[in-house]
Amino acid sequence: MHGSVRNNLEDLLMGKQPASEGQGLRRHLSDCSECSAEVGSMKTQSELLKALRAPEEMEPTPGFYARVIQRIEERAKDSIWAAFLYSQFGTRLAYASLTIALVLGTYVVAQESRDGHLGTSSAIAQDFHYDAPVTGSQAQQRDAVLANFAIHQGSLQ
Amino acid sequence: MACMSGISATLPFPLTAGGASRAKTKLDHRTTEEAALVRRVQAEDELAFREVVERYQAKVFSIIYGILRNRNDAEDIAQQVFAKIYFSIKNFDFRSSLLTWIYKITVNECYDYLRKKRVRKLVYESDFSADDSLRMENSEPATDHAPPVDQRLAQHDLILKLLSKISAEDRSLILLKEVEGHSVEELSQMTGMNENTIKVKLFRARQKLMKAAQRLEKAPLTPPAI
Repeated sequence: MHGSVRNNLEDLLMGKQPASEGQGLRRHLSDCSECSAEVGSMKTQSELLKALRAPEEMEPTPGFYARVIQRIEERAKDSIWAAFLYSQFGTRLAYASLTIALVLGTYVVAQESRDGHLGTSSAIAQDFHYDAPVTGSQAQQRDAVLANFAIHQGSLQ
Repeated sequence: MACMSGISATLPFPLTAGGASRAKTKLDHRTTEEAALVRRVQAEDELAFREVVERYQAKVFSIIYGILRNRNDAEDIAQQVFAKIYFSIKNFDFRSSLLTWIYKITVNECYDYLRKKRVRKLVYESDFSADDSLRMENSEPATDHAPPVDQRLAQHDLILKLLSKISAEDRSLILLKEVEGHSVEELSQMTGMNENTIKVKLFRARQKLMKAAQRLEKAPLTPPAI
């Protein structure tokens, strides 16, 4: 759009006689189809925007102020929690917490299964054993105690 | 469009002849009677806040009703607007008039509501409000002078959709101009920006709206039958 039209656009849209360059502007608009088409579209747009005017000045129902105060009191009560629950900061905090929990959880599970602490039920069952009976001669009893001790120590490590 | 070169669209408006001499005395929003009222609210004077509510409730209600066309929603959002004003008036910096500030909050609340409603509507809500139905039922048959109600509703929806494509600041400015009918000079006084800046901003906002309309291929801007 040419500068002269652009500069007087608001007057043109309001149907007012442009304050300056009136004659030249009219001539330009009749000669320049691009400018004239664009002004036409903007006029249409302007008419459409007027559809957002309320039919008349409207008043809320009686007791409006009391309801506003009630709402303010409600908001004041939950404003601390609202800061976390409804704000962008709160949402980000929630997502960050979830991500950290997920990463930590994955790490713990991976670490535990690598160390064999998360074995299957059959593997766990295999860990159960009975102590060798401490019977017989003194030497046999000493050997049985040492063997049991060695097994227990191995399972503890 | 040959005339609408990218350069010309981004260049500032040339000053009109005598533009400098026509420059208006800038209104100082710190010294008005309204500013005194705002300061009282900032000092947590409840009577002053009541005065703000009573002074602007009809205006706020009408703005919301104009956008949403639903009385219940308008009531609910108007309450929300004043609650927001109450909590954020300490941040009001007197660069614009109180009405301009309230207008921005009101329009933003309407668009927040529309955005949330659009999400909900995808699940279960009808696009048709109770007020829409009532208007449909009570509408006169289409005449040569007024478009039928369903066409008006479609135009209303279209313009809301287009306005959602521009920034909140542009949206408020263009609504203050077109819906509230303020002149460039008045807008300059209300916002504290100079007239040239207002013209540039309005022009760019109008261009963005036109581009948004072009993108919505199935909903071209058709002249309303007035």
